[in-house]
Amino acid sequence: MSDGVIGDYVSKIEPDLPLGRRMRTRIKEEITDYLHEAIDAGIAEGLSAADAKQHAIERFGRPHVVARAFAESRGVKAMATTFTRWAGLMSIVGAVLIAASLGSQFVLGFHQIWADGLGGGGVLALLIAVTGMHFRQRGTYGGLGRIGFRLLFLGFGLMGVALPFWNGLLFFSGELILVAGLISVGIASWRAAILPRVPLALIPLGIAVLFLGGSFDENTAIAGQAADLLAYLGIVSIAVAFGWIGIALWSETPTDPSESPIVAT
Amino acid sequence: MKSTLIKGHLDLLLLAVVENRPAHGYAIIEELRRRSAEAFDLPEGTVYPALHRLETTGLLASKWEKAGGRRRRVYEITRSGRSALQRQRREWSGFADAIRGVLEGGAA
Repeated sequence: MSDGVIGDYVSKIEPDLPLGRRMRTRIKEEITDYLHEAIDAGIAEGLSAADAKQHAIERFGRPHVVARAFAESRGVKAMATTFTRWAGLMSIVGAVLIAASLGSQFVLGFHQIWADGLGGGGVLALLIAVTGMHFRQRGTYGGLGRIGFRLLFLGFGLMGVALPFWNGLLFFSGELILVAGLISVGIASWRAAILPRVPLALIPLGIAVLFLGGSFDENTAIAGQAADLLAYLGIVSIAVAFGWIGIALWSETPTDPSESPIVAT
Repeated sequence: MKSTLIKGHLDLLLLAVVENRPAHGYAIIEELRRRSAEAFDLPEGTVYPALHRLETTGLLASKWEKAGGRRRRVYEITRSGRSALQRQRREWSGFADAIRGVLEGGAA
């Protein structure tokens, strides 16, 4: 019996299972075991192997509908939705705006980047994107992810409040909280394995390079251009990461509530 | 039979199937089909999530067993599941009597 057909079917279900790795593995094994038995039974009843496979898979159900049923059975509502898909688009837009802001500010100098409308628009777009990332994973990435998400917005809010008043301490506190939130969400997202992992690793790397460039500029004798280069690399890494994640979210098929199967009392 | 008619009673049916003997998903589905004379022929992708939900709520427990070189998840009813099954049986019996009464013209 070909495991390729079963494997293909199961692989279509897994991405839409907003559950932990262990539960996803269990569900895949259960479905695989069932399909093997159903296909063997179909062949025993006189069907050809190909017909038995097709019949068994069709009876089990459409992959994203089955995935949604499993998620609901575990009390998890985090699925690919229209909102998470559009958040993915905002992630792409944010990445492009930040990259464009970086390019437009190159001549004027890095320190003015936040005053630039492109950069500000990019940040707002990324906030929407991060919200979408949160909703996509909230059932899977656990308490660390949820706390990290709240820290992100708290940190950003503090920075926003501090900026008009030039309150350095409050702004710095906000930065620290924002970074703590990003790190928490990053670790939780990595463990959840729903979003692509390479860009998830790029984000903290970009932040580290960005901060390194910022600290070198103020405290050492390294030429200003070298420090700026580090900051640019950091921002580009972050922009690439969010663009990558945005493409992944935008590419998902949102689940349709009208397709909800019967699983209820 | 329309699957929408089964909605609301799937838990009762699944608990009843595993009441006397643990079974894995395929066996549960086949037994459900056999006992109902093929009236209950649910898409399998709806039954497995229901089994998971019953396990999450403590009415079923499950464990891995070896079968033919594969791992198989076998479900069995818990004490809470038996209590729930008894309660739901009583409720269904009362409901069925009430429906029958209405359809057949009520008590004299």
